[in-house]
Amino acid sequence: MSNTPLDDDLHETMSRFKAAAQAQPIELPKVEPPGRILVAFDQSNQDSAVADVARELCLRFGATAVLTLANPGLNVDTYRQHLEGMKAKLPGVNCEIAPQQDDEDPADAILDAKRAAGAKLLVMDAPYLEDFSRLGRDSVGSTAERVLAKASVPILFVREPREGLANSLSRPLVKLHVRQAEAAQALATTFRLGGNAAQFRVLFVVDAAAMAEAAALLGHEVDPARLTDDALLADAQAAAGSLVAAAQRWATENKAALKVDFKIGSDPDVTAREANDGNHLLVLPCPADRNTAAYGRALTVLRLSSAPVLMV
Amino acid sequence: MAVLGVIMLITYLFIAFEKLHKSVCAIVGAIAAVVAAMAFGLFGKSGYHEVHEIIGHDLNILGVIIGTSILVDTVGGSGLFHFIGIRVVKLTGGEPKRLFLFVCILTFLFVSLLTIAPGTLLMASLALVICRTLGYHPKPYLIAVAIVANSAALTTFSSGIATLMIGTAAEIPYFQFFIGSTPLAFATAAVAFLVLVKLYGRKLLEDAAKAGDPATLKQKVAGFDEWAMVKDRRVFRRSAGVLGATVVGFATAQALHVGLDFVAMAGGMAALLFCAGDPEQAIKKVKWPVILFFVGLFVIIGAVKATGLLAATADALVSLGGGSGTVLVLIIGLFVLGFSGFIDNIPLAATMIPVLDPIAADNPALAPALFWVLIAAANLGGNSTPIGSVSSVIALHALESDRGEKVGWGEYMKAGGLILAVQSVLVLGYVLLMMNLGWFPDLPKYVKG
Repeated sequence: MSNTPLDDDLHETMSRFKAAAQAQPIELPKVEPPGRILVAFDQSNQDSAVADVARELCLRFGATAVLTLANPGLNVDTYRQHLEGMKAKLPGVNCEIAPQQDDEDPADAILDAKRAAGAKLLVMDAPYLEDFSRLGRDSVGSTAERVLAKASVPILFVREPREGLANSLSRPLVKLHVRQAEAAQALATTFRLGGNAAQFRVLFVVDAAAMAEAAALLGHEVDPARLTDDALLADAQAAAGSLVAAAQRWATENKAALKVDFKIGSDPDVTAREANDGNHLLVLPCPADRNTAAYGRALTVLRLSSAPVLMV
Repeated sequence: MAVLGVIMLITYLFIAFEKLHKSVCAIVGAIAAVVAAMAFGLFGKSGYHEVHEIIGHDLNILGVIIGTSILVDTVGGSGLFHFIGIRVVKLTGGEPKRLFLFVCILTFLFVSLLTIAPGTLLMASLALVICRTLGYHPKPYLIAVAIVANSAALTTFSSGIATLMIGTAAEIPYFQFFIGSTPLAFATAAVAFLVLVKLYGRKLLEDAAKAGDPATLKQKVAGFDEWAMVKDRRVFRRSAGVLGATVVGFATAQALHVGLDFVAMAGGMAALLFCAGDPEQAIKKVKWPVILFFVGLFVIIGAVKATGLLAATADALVSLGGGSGTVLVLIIGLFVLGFSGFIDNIPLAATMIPVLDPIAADNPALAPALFWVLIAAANLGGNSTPIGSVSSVIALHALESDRGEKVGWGEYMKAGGLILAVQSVLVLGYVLLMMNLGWFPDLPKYVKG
């Protein structure tokens, strides 16, 4: 891969041309705006943030917000009273209060409410644990995990509650993997959500350690000296050509601002850091098959992210 | 005089035969030259300080190399050059002769704008990727890149390092290049293209026929997507702006009373500021070995000049010419054309400049012809061998690195030698004709002197 500085330069330059020559045309799928969005509250300190983000989403899509409270065992009055309070935080949005579900499990209650409402998008919180250094990569909450595992629609998880969280919808960061089937869908959903006024970022992360590990599992020997950052980034750019071209074409046609970044490092750490530092809405393609490594990776990113995360 | 001459000769031989890294050769040669010059008292009262004077005199060359290197690396990161390259290739529809023509045109354009090393690297990469995608054999395309690049280095003041060195030393006004050098750049590139088509035309068509039916190839080329390399369109547009402004800056530098090094550095810094450049990365990518090579070379030549050896060589050349300007131009032209194939054109040009300078000072009317023939011969002379120029070294290395295929001296010289023979006639004919008709504008430096 690299013997001399000239070889390095050659490899880098050729990789860029390869990206163009090997790019397979990708048609971004048409994404219909969700007519109804289920907004699930849980009487936590994140409810106001969920309402903020849900309002912005509904306004962007012109959707109806269907509100639910997923705490089992509540009496009807408390349920309705809390949701009326939340409804007041969604001015300008057509709101409905979903009938109370009688499930014991809040995750089931949310999924049933979603089905009953015919919602095509779900907004809820996933508890955000601030001190990760002590707690490690802890859970995002069993409710969030179970909803994610069973839901068949995109879910926007609100993590750390903070001022101006809704503005992050204008700064979507889409993390893509070149061989992920859901990548085009995630791009199309993000573009539909952001419109042409948003500042889009597309991120590819090259995880050299994971690549070396995978190669070793397959019985391939990898010379670490050949896995230079520049060479890896150049290869990643060549492989991602189709997605980059599709994204740039959309941005050109819609006169939108779009920036593509390639980073080296541990995939979940780099992705979460980029999203957290940039006050972004993080968009993650999430495979339907919940037993895949890609799903596990997406879940880890969700756990590490303090920014809101849209799982597509 | 003899000691310094021997030091210079040994250094050049080591550089030519690549016995040591050429930067190390130049610096070691410079150290030896300084020691000898000081031992013989050649630096006079100023002593060692003279070394700084010598380097300072040519600091502008180093400034241009550093500035353009940063500019090209940063602007290149935006995908601009790749975008242009792919867009142009798509116009060919994969048709081999048209593709061959467009590769030559693009090489000419990129080298004219970006100087020979980055321009050649870009085009060698493009040719390899396109040929691999279409199933064509890349050798003819890479030989074309190597040879056309040397013509493109003649286009403007800043298109080639040798051109820049000679132009700076002779203080040639930027716009005089459009009379003295640019026509030769186009004409010699056209010669190269025609000879190469004659030599490889049939092979290009045979390769294409083997690669598949034209409709499929056309479809493949149409599928290339130039946007695949663009990471940020705002940076992309700014990069085009910064590059354009720098090119305009080069053209107007003399009118603005600033050096090309100032323009190059300003362009490089503008790229870092406005084109999302990574300063660490861009500065690391500057060809520091080349800078060291130049520093060593300048010191050696400065020390040798102090001995009077180069002035004596100038006198000898004038005597050899027998008082005839035409003969003198022919001698210099043929000498440089011949030696450029074997010696790096940079040391050759650097050595010839102080030889021609006193001749030009004594014969102002002859000055333009001397320097135009030196510029053309120093750049084109490298066409004769596979080691004669930066472009051939890069293009042939790329072919070997990507395909494991070597181009032998005989094969290269068959094309390069033939092209150089025709180009030599063209260059000498043009310079002599212009000189004898008195159509070259005077060089202000010598008219004033």
